[in-house]
Amino acid sequence: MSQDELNNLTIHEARKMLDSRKISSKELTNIFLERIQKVDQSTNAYITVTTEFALQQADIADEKIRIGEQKPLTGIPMQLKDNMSTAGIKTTCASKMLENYIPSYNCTVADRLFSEGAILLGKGNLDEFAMGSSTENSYYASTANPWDLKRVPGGSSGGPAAAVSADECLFSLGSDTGGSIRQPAAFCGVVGMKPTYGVVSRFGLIAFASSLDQIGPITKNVQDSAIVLNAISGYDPKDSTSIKNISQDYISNLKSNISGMKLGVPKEYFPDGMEEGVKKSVFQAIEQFKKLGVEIKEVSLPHTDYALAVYYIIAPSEAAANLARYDGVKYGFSSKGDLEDIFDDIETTRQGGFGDEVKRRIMIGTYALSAGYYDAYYLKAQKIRTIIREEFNEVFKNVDALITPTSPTVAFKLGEVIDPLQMYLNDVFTQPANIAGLPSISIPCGISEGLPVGVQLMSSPMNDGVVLNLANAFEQSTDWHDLKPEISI
Amino acid sequence: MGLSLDQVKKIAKLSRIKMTDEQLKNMRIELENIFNHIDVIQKADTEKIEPTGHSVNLDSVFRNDVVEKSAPVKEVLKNAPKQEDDFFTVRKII
Repeated sequence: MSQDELNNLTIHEARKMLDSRKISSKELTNIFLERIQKVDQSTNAYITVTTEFALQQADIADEKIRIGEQKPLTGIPMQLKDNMSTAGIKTTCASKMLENYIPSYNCTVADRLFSEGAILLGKGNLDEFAMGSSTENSYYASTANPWDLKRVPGGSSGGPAAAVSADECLFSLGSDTGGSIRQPAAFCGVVGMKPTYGVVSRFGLIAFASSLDQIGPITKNVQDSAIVLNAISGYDPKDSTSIKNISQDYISNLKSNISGMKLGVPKEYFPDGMEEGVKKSVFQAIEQFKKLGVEIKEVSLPHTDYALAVYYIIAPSEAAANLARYDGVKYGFSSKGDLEDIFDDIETTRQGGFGDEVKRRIMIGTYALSAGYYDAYYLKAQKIRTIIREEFNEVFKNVDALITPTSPTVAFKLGEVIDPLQMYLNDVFTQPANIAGLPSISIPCGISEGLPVGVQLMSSPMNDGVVLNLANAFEQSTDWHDLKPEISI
Repeated sequence: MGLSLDQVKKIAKLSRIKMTDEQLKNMRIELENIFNHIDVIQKADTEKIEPTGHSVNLDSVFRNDVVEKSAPVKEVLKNAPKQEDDFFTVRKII
């Protein structure tokens, strides 16, 4: 397969090739394994490559195709972010704490993909425990952006976004707590979707902030996103926040006629000082939607300014509780010192096992939850969360969806953003969707300074189909998603 | 807001993370900056507003009390830094 053919290969196209026997799953898997071998030393999008397991799965997939029992993802090579548990395969969360951790069970999304016959090529790099916006917080090396290897791929799903962009897999799954699927998708010029909270099971996803975390697809186009979402969504009794009775078929509901739909432009998402190139591309996207017959309305979400602060109380608070489990007893790194005192032992283990950003977030959360500060921070943030949700509900009475930039900037240089608060500001446009549990997607909409720009669409809970339809229609009428990076190896 | 070094020491203790004096000093500055930003929430009027814990309404989930197959004990224990027979080894607590 030529580089051009590989660039343009989507899940949809690969399915046709597999079903018509133009290629076998084993051949396709080998093409991707070779590609990983060639470019991953430059991108570092993988923490673990599962060559043997992938080839075994490919043999099984080829047999299923031979007897005509294939499903939409049978034989399709993919990657999973390394915070999704895979039985018998290392799952590190890009942390020293879990460097040698081998789960004894699969997360639900892996189970679902494996039962469809998808091929696992390996595990994608991320910011440690998914805390970060640049993948520079990985205990292993940072991932590089395929568009410019001196720049970050975004984060925390930087590995998955870079892997899809660099053709190191046909799709990947990311997790999104405050923008961790959408922001890296925007930075790497690919499609990243965070479904409605509860649409995809979180069972076996190593927890960061349980009320915000959601798994979703990172793909080359919107149709592929719908194919993957069909496979991974649905009720799971193992996740108590999983929504019952979801029986949406995102593929057969995918439309390209969106004429008459209403799109809101929230003015708070276009602040002064935003990068001009980003602003310009997003305004062009709005014009494109007009051409497609969509009515554009200016709307206001006045409490948007509080979202970042609310997020940085709720997410670290939940993280402080979730990460209490790492005590060096049941799994993971242990200080192995001969300390008599159990607390001394736990404190030393956590000192050595966690990176700086993880420690910082645990400390923020612990403080926000501590006696005397709980009402002023955690409870107050939860109350503003109610206001933010209600503001969205009110706006969605008048429009079908909202359109905003995904990120205020294009990909920045590795090592450029050092101040933690500056780094947090990256997710200012993506966090509100997590706070309110909304479905949201980032799709390519332009180029600024030679780097991809992403536009974000959000709709009301359970309207994942609306978001996909709008994104699909836009994509079909533009060619931004066809632009590919040339990786200088 | 201002955070004292003693407060940061207490947060580290509650977080069960050991820190050097240098790390505590840096963390004090970083936390102070972050909380100076976070403090914007105090301006929001939340009188009579109920808190939201989850964006979806949660019901308690029950299942019948039936014995199910356990996770494979040997596999689970493989990840423990110290184990003995079918148990995790912990330090003396009392």
